[in-house]
Amino acid sequence: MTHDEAKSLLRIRDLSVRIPTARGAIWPLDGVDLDLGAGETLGLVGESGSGKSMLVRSIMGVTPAASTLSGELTFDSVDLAGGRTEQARGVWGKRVAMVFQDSMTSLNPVVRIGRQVSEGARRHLGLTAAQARERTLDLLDLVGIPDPRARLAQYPHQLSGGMRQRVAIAMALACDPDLLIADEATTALDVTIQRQILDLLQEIQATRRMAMIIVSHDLGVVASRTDRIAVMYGGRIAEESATGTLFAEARHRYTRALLGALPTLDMPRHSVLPTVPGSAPDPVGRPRACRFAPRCPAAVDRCRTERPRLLSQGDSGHRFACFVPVEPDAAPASAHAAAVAAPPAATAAAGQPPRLEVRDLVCRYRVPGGTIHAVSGISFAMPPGETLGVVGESGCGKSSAAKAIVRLQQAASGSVLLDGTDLLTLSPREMRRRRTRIQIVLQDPIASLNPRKTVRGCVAEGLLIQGVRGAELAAKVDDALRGVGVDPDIHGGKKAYQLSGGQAQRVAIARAMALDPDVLVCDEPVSALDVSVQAQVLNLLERLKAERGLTMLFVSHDLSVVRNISDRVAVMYLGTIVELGDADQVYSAPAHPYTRALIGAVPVPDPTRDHASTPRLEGQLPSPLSPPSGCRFRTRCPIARQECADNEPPLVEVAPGRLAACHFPLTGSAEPTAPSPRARVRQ
Amino acid sequence: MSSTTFVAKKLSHLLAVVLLVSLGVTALLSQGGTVAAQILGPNANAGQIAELERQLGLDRPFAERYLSWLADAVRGDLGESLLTHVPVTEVIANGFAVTFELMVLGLGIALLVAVPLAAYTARNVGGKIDTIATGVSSLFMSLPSFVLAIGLLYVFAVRLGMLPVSGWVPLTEDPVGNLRSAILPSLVLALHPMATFFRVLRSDMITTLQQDFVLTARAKGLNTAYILLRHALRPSLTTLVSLAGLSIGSLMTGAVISEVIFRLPGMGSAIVNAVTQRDVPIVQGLVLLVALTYVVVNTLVDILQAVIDPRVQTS
Amino acid sequence: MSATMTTGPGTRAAAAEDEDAPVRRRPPVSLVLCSAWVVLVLASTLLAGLLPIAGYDEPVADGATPPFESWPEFLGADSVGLSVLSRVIHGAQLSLAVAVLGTVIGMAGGVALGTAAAYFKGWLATVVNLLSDVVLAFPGLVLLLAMASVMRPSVWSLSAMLGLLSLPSSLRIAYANANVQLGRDYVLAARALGTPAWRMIVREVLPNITHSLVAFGFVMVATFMIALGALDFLGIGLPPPRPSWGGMIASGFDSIRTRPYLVFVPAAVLLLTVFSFNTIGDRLRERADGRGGHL
Repeated sequence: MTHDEAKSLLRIRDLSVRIPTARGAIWPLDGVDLDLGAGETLGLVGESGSGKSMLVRSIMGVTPAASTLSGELTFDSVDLAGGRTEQARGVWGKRVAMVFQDSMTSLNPVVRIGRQVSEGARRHLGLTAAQARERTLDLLDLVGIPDPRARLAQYPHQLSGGMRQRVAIAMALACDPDLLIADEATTALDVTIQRQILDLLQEIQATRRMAMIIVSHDLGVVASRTDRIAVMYGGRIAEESATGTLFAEARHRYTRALLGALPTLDMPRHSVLPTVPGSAPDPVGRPRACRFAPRCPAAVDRCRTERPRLLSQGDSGHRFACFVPVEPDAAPASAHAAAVAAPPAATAAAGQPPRLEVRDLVCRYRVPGGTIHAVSGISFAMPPGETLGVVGESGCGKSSAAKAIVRLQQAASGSVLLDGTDLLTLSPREMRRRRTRIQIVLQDPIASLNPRKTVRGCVAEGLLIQGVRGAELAAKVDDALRGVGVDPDIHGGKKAYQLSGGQAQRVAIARAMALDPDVLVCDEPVSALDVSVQAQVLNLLERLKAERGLTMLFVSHDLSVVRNISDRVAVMYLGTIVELGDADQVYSAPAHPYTRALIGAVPVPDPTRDHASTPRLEGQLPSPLSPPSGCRFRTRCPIARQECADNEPPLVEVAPGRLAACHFPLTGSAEPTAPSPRARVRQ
Repeated sequence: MSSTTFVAKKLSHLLAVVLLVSLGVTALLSQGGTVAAQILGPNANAGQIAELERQLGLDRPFAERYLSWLADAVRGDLGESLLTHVPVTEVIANGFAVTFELMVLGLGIALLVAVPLAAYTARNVGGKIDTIATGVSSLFMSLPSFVLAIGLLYVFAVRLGMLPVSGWVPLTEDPVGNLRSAILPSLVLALHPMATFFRVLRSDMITTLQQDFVLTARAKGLNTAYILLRHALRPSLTTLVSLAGLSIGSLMTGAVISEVIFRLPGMGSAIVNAVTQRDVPIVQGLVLLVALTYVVVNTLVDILQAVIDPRVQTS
Repeated sequence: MSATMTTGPGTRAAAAEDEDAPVRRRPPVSLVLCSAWVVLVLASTLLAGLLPIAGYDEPVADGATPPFESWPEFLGADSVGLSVLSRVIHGAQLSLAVAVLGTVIGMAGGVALGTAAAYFKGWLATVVNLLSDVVLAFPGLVLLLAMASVMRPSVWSLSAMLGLLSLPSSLRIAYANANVQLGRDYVLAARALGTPAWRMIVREVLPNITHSLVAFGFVMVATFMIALGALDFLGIGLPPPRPSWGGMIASGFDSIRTRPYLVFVPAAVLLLTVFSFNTIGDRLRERADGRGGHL
């Protein structure tokens, strides 16, 4: 091992957590060994159910009430696995601190920010109220919160998501901890805000020389910000090594699969992603076998009867738990995807009338305090067989637009033409008939299936409404299920909550496809899924599109996913389309400054990539209740000038087939001319 | 929503509720000529009844009677008893002190027992105290107040002879005697709300204790009592406060029962007497008062919610 | 396990326990006992005429007899020599009928209005909410008293009145539950299939709130039993000669010093019955909530 065990700050040996349930005991953690030295940064990576959150919660002493810990867990020789002892409570919050995933729920909604940040310091450091207040102001200032004095008396809901997460970080730093744990701390945030927070964490870690554990499902997040990475699967550590080594020569097949299943910005479009068959392991029991064996292409008998130990290769510090590791000189995992050929994408025939055309679509909804302009007049046309990707951050109106197009949300004005017929003016009865032509797939697959219905019942519903009955109905339902790779005889009688996320999304797609639509609107269809399952669903959508000549509107916040599946891409910001064009061109040479910033903020799973070189987008998303005048992006735009505040730029062609809504579109690779300081517009 | 439109909306809702309640009870009580018949006794003939109804103004159309009653009520004149000719306001004033004291004591006892017990058991789910408290609370929920009143009366007054069987000592005359005469009746009022408060707060506290922000507080190394008081209690109070507002109805029911059984001179026994004698103005007045109390208390509850949870104001 | 063996906050580890054995669900002893009692009460009530006991108006003794002195009239006799057992059994008939009927009326109205208001929102929701506030602002017992003063209570009038009084509660339960369901994605997905309003309420939403509503129904029956008992106790419930538990308690109350059993036998039966309905309702609700955890 490269790190000296004697010096290790955090020492974990054979740590297990057991929770009794009605189906039998589950083991969210099953024999974890881990060391962390002072000042070291560790990335803890895994899919949902891998145990990564349970591991850090054990360190913080906040495991569920019914759970039982066994094994060794010490921090600087203080036992943290022995319950809430006086000694342990002197470590928690003081020497080890944690930032939780969702600041909306991890901050107390009814306690003022000042108290929440300062109470830890008052308890551990015995500060007076005045001292604690001074310290809180310093901390809020440190994490980049403007006007800290005013924040003390505010409540969490009065801040934006990014600001709340900064408060949570200030709270964790209150006692100057030796170890900071960030548990999916940026997952709930938009990419541009995520980038700000990750940079902040890294700066603080560097200046304070504290150790840090970054827990994430996203390999991109940890790639360039950690010294080491541990990959977890099924409550165990599958592989652990220095960050560079892991990306270059992963030995465990699960790590390889994880790296391969991730669509990246630099692989060819419409790549078929290598997938891992099956889904996450059942957490009940602790089998004497490799947890990954059922999904592993190389598994041998030994993998199913013996538990592989996490062993190191020489003294490189590279440890993995596998009997049949990948040879170290095999090609890098991320290169696998590119090697696979793409299916022939149905190319849009030029000159054909558009299948779906959206004109000046406007969506508004009233909230207490005003009207939210969710979509402010967007237009685009899609020829038959095209996939148009719509990307943007939360609040940009992409989801509202998708729902308005299929009339799940009322549009204030505009039209949606399906083969020339305006859907928005149809009577409910006519619209019901027309719904066979246009269907939607929603984000959360399990929530989108009625929990009281069987899989067959869910898929049959649309056909029943169209008047299909009897044998024809049964045949169509089973066909639709087989079409998405779900065996109706095995799964047809199950309820939604008995399915895995991936299976449920397949059923939801089958429900839409049962009506044999021409247009499929996908609203964040893979956002709720794990990476390995996400690849399965993306491949399925590509296949259906090719087989049936579907026209697809694909909405997602994930730029890599959108790029891989789309022919053209529309980028939205605060209810408007700011850029529209061929996917490759938009990503390689963005014309709008927002597009450029957005692409620059995407965490890239490549440790050699220096993210510090791309410009970071500062500031927060303006309130959609009162969007800025002129160009909506001007308040965060690095090249904004007076004209941007005065006039709203129209979406115009800046190059053949490229549309952008910017007064000063970026052209080619030339650097934008720096505006004179006086002309710069501030909010 | 601005705060003025919010208040205006609340007030109009409140007014509508009170108007509809008084209209409903007046309509219900003006079924047929039973009032005059009741006053004159079983031997009266139809002519006498009609004559009396004319005197009492009961022959006028219903709408006219309701409107004139309403016009008087707005001016603070609720009419007078058909039988004793005592002004309704005086009947209310006489009974108010007793009923008010019983309701306040009942609510106080219920909250004082339920809140600490719920906070404790939510932290120790499945423990001995939790098991006992949960079991006893479901028993209390199922205990009709008249059965409880009789039981208490039997044990404390008849068997043990510790407390007076019936009667009322006003607070102004003898505070200790007042408490002795009020303790059993207010227990009758308290038990049902106590059980519901306990169960609701316990279950809300359990939910709150599973929230991420409680994990955050524990991860900060704060001690349990501090977390319970500072972080968990307040966000768990929302349902309890609404319920306490709604419990005015159940407290009133308890007051009626307990005033009848313990023979106390409150509004509850007044309303029972008035109902059995079909003394419409008294029933009208008392129901109006109860409805008014109910809506005012629940408006206060809405305001209290905003104090407890700062998010309420903005949404 | 090498080093320490400790427990998380909350439970204690049982060393002998099989590590991977499923946790047995708490055996629902209370549920079984309560259901048994409800079945017993219902059966003896419905089959009262077939039981080998005296009629409720046939004296079996010359005067009051304490319990456990004769068979089958083992609960003794009241001051005029009527069998307490027989009167307890017959006394349940009308109360149960009214309580169940009132629940059905109240729930039917409440569920229809509540789900419709949740689905259509707008003015319907406003009106429904106002009306439910009005009914809630009525002191329930006082209203029943007032009603009893102007009309002779019958099974139907009492059921209708109780149904009306409970309407706001069942309406709010239905409204709140339906609102939660209507916010779920599966409703959105159903709308994308063109599901019409009635089909949405009946086929998508109702099946998901039935469990909570049934659970609430049991609690409602229990509440009505208490209310009816109070009315009978105050002497303004269903008129004699049919016995009632509340009426038996009221008449026994006069001789509570000498013959407390005349009060406490019917009181205990009433308490047990109410407790059983409440407990069944609670357990059903817990199940409904537990199932909700899957969603």
